Amino acid sequence: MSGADPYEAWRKQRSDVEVAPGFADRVMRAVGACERPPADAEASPPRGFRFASHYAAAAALLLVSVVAAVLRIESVVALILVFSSEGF
Amino acid sequence: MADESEVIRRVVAGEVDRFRWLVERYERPVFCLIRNLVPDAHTCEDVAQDVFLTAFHQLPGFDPARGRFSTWLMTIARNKCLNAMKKKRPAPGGGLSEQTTSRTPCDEAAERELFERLDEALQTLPIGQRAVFVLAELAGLPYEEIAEIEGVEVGTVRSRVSRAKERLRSLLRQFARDHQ
Repeated sequence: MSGADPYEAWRKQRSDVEVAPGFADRVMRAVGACERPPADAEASPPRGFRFASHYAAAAALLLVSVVAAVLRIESVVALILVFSSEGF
Repeated sequence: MADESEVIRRVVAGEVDRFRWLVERYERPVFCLIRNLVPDAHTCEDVAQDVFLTAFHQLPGFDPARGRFSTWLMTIARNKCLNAMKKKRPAPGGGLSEQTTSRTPCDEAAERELFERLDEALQTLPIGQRAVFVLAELAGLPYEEIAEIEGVEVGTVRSRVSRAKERLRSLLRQFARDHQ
């Protein structure tokens, strides 16, 4: 074994890690293959806003359903009134 | 170009190719951390690539006022390592390269055995102690930066490194006694 401090020899060897050849190229290819660059990702609405818009859409749908149901009941009532006023 | 914050600003603005500058600047410390926490050579590059891709996607959220880019990147790397370690527990020292020199085969065999024992000992350290030890002793990061990465006090970093070194050194003493 070498005369140097074995701990230091081990530490030096484990510090001296070689980066896989072409690593940066592979990262950049992967980055290029990404659908959206960071600027686009930043421009997208925040997560909270997306959830809020889902809730707003659900609430609007519910409102339309309620209005439709009320109108349907009103038309039936109106029909009954028409029939009763005609003396049927 | 040497201004890191300017490079980051341009990458976020859409000059994606400038991200290479950041990769080439930090690939070595990132590899050093991953290689010593996740020794499996095949997993190592996948984790490293994942670190840089995550950094690329999260770059718009990086705030230079809150800390250094290197600290932010090494925090991503450290968290990716922890995830990889949970998924896979490789044989200690399995993927770490051995560098041989012009010494006798007996010397080389003894050193190889010693290094394997140290690798095994490193892998058996508690994760908090191991991560801090690798960041400080192998990646060469300052204690202040490690404290930010780990979310602990500088004193805690110092004591964890000290305990890890003592454990490895006691193993060396035991090894020397066994081989006398």
